[in-house]
Amino acid sequence: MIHLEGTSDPGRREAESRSEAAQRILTAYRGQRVSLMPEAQRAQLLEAIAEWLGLADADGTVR
Amino acid sequence: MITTAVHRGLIYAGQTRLASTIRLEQTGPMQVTVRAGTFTGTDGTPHRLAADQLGLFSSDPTAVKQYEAELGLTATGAVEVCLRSRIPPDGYPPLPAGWRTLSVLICTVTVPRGATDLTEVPIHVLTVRPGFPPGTGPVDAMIQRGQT
Repeated sequence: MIHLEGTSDPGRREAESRSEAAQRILTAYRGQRVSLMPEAQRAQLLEAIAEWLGLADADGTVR
Repeated sequence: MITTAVHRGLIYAGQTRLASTIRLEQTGPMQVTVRAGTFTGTDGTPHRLAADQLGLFSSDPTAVKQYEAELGLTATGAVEVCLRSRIPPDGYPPLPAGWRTLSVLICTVTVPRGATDLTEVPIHVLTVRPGFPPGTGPVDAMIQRGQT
């Protein structure tokens, strides 16, 4: 099997704001129904929304 | 979790000769094995994947990562599987030079950040079934193609 890993600049990602990271997670789950998601994905989505709204820290701790 | 659904890997052959005996299994927490088999195109041309292929997945500690895999022909005409990853919004790396895709084998897999096990992550894979979807038939296919 041929494995091709996408490249991503770690420096750019470090500099990326928390809200942008959360938005990327939201984009990745676009089109999926929350009620049909496995628990782990649903939890990550909820954390992303909370971060995006400024209601939680980056580790998912609610403020 | 290997699965399939219409528009996510599941294809009905209809009146074509499309078929596939290639199966996919999750053989480790972050590992999918593509079993050897034959993919037959709609025109009946068989393409034999001679040996099992091992697909290794990994997660990113800080970002969602996505994977997809295609079955295709290399520049030399060999049947091969190409597994590509990306971290959105970056795109997938380009397919190898001379590559010709036969079919998507694994639809987009979204790996949560830091994941160490894909058991709960849906991995939608190619599944070809004969005939038409339940409740439909050749006439429906002709209507969709504007042939009636």
